[in-house]
Amino acid sequence: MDSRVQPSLSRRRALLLGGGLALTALVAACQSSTPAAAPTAASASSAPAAAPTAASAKSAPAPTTAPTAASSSSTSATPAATAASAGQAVSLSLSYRSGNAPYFKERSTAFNKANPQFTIEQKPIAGSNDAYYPKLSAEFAANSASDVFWVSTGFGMYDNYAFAQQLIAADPFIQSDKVDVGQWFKAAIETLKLDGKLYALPWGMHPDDIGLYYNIDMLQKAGVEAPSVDSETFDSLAQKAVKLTKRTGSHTDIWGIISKTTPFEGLISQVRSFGGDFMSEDKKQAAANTPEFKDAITWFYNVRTQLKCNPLLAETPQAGAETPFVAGTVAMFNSGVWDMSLTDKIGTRFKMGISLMPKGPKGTRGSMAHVDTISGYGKGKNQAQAFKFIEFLTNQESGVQNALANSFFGARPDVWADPRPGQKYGKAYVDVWQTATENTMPLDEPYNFRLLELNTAMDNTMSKVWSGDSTPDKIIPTLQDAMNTVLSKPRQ
Amino acid sequence: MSAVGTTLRTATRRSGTARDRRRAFAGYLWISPWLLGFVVFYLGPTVASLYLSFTSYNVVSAPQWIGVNNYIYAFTKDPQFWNSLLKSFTYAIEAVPAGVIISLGLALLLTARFWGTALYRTIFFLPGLTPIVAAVLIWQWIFDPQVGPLDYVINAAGGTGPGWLGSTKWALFALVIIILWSSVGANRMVIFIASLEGVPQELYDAAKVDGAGHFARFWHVTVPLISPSTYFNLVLATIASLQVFEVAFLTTNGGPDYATWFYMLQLYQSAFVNFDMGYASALAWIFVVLVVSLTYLQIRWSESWVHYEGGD
Repeated sequence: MDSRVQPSLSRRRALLLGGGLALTALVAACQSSTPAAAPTAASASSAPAAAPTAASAKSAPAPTTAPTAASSSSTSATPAATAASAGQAVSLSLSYRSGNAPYFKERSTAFNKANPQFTIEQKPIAGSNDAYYPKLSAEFAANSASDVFWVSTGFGMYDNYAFAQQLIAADPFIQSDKVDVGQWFKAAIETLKLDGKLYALPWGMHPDDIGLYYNIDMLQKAGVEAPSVDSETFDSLAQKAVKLTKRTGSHTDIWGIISKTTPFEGLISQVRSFGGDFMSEDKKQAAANTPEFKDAITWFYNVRTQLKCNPLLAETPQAGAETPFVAGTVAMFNSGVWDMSLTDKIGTRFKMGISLMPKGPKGTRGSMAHVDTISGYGKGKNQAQAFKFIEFLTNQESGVQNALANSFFGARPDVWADPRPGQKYGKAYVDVWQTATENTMPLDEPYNFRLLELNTAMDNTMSKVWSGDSTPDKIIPTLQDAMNTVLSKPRQ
Repeated sequence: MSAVGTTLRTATRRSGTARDRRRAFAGYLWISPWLLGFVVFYLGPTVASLYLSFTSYNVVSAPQWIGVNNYIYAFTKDPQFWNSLLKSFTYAIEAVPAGVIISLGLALLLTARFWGTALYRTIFFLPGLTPIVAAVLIWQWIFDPQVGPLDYVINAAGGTGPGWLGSTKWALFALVIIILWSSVGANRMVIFIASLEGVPQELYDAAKVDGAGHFARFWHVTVPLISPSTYFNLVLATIASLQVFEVAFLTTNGGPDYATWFYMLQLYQSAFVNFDMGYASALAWIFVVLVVSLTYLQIRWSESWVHYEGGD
């Protein structure tokens, strides 16, 4: 008899043991969903209902916790109803992309210093948006999301989460805490409204890739006047780019300009400069078949294929425009506010100047408010306390620290008025971007919230034009169809 | 005597059956942690994905049953479904035969007895150890139209680079090059080397005596005897090539103009960018059926050309 396999347990005991193990594992696996399954009375009453409007409710997927008219009243959401009494210990969790960890840790410490009863648990999520949003979505599905978290509009999931009632309904807390929404740029607040309601407070905002950075030394050497913020036109900019372009044989040594057309928003802001847009007013139809849209993309097509002062897609450096600009092989490139920090990389090699992409034929400069927010979990237990922390992370000082740490300016005029960012980056840069930000147009979110999907369709379709394989005339019907295919999908 | 013998045999069988059951039970008990993990983390999600493929599910809201609509949408409406399949198969047709042939060629070279064979084996194997992200970064630089060494050489020779990863016509081929670089000297080559070294020398000697030249010995001795390895490599390479994802995700993200929009990228985009988890699950199950069908066809095909030792 083989003693090695002689069972030492009786079958019954083994069954009990196995069953116990399985039960333990099952309980452990289900533990995270317990708070949602059985919310406390306090938490249930404190949760301000994310009451959708009648219109949105019609197409809304079955909500997991259907808000009633009564529960949506601000009285039930009064923070005081559940707020911990002064001095009572409160623990909040905070999620964000790990790249911002130093900033959020510093802000958490500052908040904790001012509010010693709060403990902030840091829950950074490694990676960029590609990793962040799937993780956050999974946490929502498991009812284990952090009390407070970063979420953005544009390429983020702000609207999707708000629609799915996963975000804190901010309006009741704004009322009870007497938060003045006028302290943020209007475009930021308008961008965050879904069916007229707010689900977060603005943390940062940029007006899109409408900046124009240029190599001052290169322009001076070529005898080209610096692009003007106020009087530059698209034609004059193209002429300057042609003068700055240098070739040896078929090889281009210096490109006059690299204009940004991918991802889509850099292009859409320019379309807005020409008086067009990318969607109909109800955000349910593509609007690529307008003369204004065509005029805008024709300019970008011409600088690539006719004037040859901007690289075609296949000629565009893999690393984007920043690296060749720093290396001195690009004279001008258009980008966003974050590239103010390029001065560190450039060092003493050359002087960098800043302007904005030109205004269009009717004197309008297009833009698009990309708003990053701080929001809270709509099914969290400590929403009132979480909102206090949200207010702190979106106040002026947090905005200034954001500008200093991440070169990402807050969505507040008083951050721009603070002297510290100007001292760090240079007043010229800050002044230009302040001008751009003060007049930012709101971001347009498709009715079905499928902005990323729309972007993929636009980028891929338009790449034929940026490659020189197609023309604006030919591509517009295709683009219109590709966009409408996405826009016709149901709300997400 | 025979009655006693029958009784004994019956008793032994009974006792053996009971013992076998106890042993089996103990065995299952010992592997129960793995079984539990298998059920919770593999079988469960697999079954769940089958269910989700019949729903509309965006992760943050409850799934809604929509029957076979996801499947209908994939086959009849999704503008990129057929394109993604086409791109994946085009890639497979380019990468699989080339990959298998080059791996076999390298293995043949490295089984030749000459100085430094071990060193060369290591050198050829190294790309397989390079993380795909690092490999992609290196190749992005090589393909860069402004600063890349490849275009530098082409320009120096008076030509113009095709744009590689930024070109709608060349991007797919550029990805094939990256994958071939990282895979031809890796496991596939090692399997071929092991297989080639298992071919009995006496068969070569016999063939030589019969007047067979180098090519005849390779074609009539080597190829049949390593056919199980060739078949194994072919099946794995086909499945791997249809699953290609990382290299496209990291370099082109499917573009330009969907030129590298592989099926796995379509699935990823649906699941983790569009958050159409129900549709992504349907795509996954379509893929399962496709791969199983292809593998079955390969098995049937293999009966005509794969020779197993001791077989008919």
